[in-house]
Amino acid sequence: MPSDPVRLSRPVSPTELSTRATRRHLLKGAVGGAAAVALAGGRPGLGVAQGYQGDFVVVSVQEVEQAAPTIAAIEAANPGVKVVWRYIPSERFTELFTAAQVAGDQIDLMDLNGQDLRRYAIGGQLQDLSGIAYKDRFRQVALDTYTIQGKLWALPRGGIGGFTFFVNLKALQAIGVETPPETYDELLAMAPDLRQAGIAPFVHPGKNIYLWPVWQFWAYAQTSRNTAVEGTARVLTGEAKFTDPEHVAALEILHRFARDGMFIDGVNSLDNDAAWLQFTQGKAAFFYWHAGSIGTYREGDFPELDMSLIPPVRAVEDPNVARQLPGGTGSALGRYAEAGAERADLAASVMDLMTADPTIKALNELNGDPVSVNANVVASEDPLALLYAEQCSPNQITYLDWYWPPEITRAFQENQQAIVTGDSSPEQAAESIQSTLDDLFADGYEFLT
Amino acid sequence: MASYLWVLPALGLYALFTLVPLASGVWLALLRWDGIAPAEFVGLQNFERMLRDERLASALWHNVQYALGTVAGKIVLSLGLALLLHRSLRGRAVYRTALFLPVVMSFVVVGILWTWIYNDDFGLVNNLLRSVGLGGLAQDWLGDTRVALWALIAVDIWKWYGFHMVIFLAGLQTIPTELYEAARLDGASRWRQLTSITLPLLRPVMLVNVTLSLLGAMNVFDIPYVMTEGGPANSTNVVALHVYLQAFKFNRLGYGSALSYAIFLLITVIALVQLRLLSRNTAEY
Repeated sequence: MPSDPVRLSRPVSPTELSTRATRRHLLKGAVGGAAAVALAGGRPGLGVAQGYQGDFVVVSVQEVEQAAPTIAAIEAANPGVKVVWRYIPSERFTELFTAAQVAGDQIDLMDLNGQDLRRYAIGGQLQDLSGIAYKDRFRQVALDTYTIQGKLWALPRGGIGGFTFFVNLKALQAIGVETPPETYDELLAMAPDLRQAGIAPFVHPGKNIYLWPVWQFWAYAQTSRNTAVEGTARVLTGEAKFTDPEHVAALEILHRFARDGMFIDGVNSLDNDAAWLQFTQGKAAFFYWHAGSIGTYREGDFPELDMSLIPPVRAVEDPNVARQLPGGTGSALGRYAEAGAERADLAASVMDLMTADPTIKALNELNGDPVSVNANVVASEDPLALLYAEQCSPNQITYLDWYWPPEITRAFQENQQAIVTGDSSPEQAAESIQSTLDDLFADGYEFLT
Repeated sequence: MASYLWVLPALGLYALFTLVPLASGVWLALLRWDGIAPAEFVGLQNFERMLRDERLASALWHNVQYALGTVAGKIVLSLGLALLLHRSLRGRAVYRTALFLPVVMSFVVVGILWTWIYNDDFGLVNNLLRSVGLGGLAQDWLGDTRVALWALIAVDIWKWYGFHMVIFLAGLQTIPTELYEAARLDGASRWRQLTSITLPLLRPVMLVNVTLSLLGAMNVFDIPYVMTEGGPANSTNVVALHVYLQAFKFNRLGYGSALSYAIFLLITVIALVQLRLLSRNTAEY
């Protein structure tokens, strides 16, 4: 992305935070990326397919400028092939992709947000990639994320990153605390001193449609005893309910944060920009945010901020519960089901090139990713990125809204906001969310694992 | 016949870009389609669904509140300003221009601007209140379910009062000055002149303003979308935003289309009622 939260003024999904780059990154990356991808393209056989000449169309959530080195490498490796890179912003992917389909446009590869993959795979819009020979190129967690019903539908591209607790060490030093907390009780104990010093314990962009649900992901990971994905799948198949105790307990964690005054005033009206501003100005000690902000922090000048990070604090009694956090595994590169057979070889070789180590390394640098989806690529040497890779990545679970339909995300957001304002209890919120799911079931919704 | 041939190109374009999409929208409203899987014909199910859509009901109620707040606010404020600026006043043109400025600003700019103005911590509103000793009134304008909708209504009024003011000014200029002179000779006070001459003769203009602001309130999308996304806790969700969410976020294109036609019908009915009132209640002199 790296996310540049200061410049984001519209709702942005967690995945998009992982796939956007600042203008400076684009310019910087284009130079390094060109060299890296030229190397990848120059490797004998990589990206080369004999025969086809003409347009080759990639629809992608990656911007054209960002993809320029990749495009150049594909065209260099395949004389006579012209790459048409159609950038579609993630939030408009469904509508614009559908328009292209209905118009009968040529589409060869789809470079999707991971959260959209399930919909397209189940909708029969992608080809099965289970047979590719170079699976060992990727980290297993990334392959698992894009495997549905036992088949691999897309190849991961980019970085592994997620949402964790960022901490302003200066704020802690102001109250004489040297070490960040590990448990909610420790956090709660330091809250009065923080408030006394004019610092809110926590800031969160509570206006953003995606980010209260993302809060639920870490909390539910703990209350489900680290079985959040499995537990969510059970709810989505109708075997369990959002009103079950472990889901309500996760909402109760949010309720405790709100009741104990942990959030900054006006948390529900803060968008990404405003929340980042509060954090960087030293007005809050902790910020639940995406790892992509490491790059933004390094680029900026924030005299009030000495940023570090920790996994989410333990908010349950059981010390054996891991402090997991939600995240994603880059974009999902799939082959369109209706792509012309005459371009099949070309598509296969282009996918190989687009996921090769040098290409991904360039992409990781461009995005400031803390961890790469490719097993043999070290994404970043930044101390904070290495800290993330060491303490957070091993405990990363996939965003739960990559599994459930968008109506549930909205239901969580509305109800979690109501918990924070005190208009709803965790139990009432859980009832409301479950009722949204029940409506979907009544409407024919079916979850396929 | 020749006259029809002259308008044929325009009619053709109108049909292509307006009538055909309208008709295909009706067909879409009869389908269940997520834009990915094949579409399925479901008859009137999408319309039936509206009756049990609780969020639609709450969105509609928010629209009603929005309409009450914005119509009242815009009419009172714009009429008051128009009456002031209709008088001989030094720098009148400057005032008129300045007051009209928000009308030409983009919705997105207005939305972002007011989001910062309403910011709980460093926003202009709360800091102004604190600086004059009214800190107790400072609050989280966009994050509190009790006040968020009214905060948006205030922004809408700010954005549009200049537009309605200009219409009122145009109406005021059509009232013959002789009527006021005669009234003054008869000893009528300013208040009496306002209630017996100005307001009755402004009735057609008033109805135009009420109609426009009412339709705008039923159609509102931009300000809630930019400023609150329908939150907090669904407290500022309005019908147009609900349609957008259904069609483009939840990928229920058929239901979104059905909802659009329902709004279209609702707004048409409101407009027709207003037009009827307009034609009946025209004062003459």
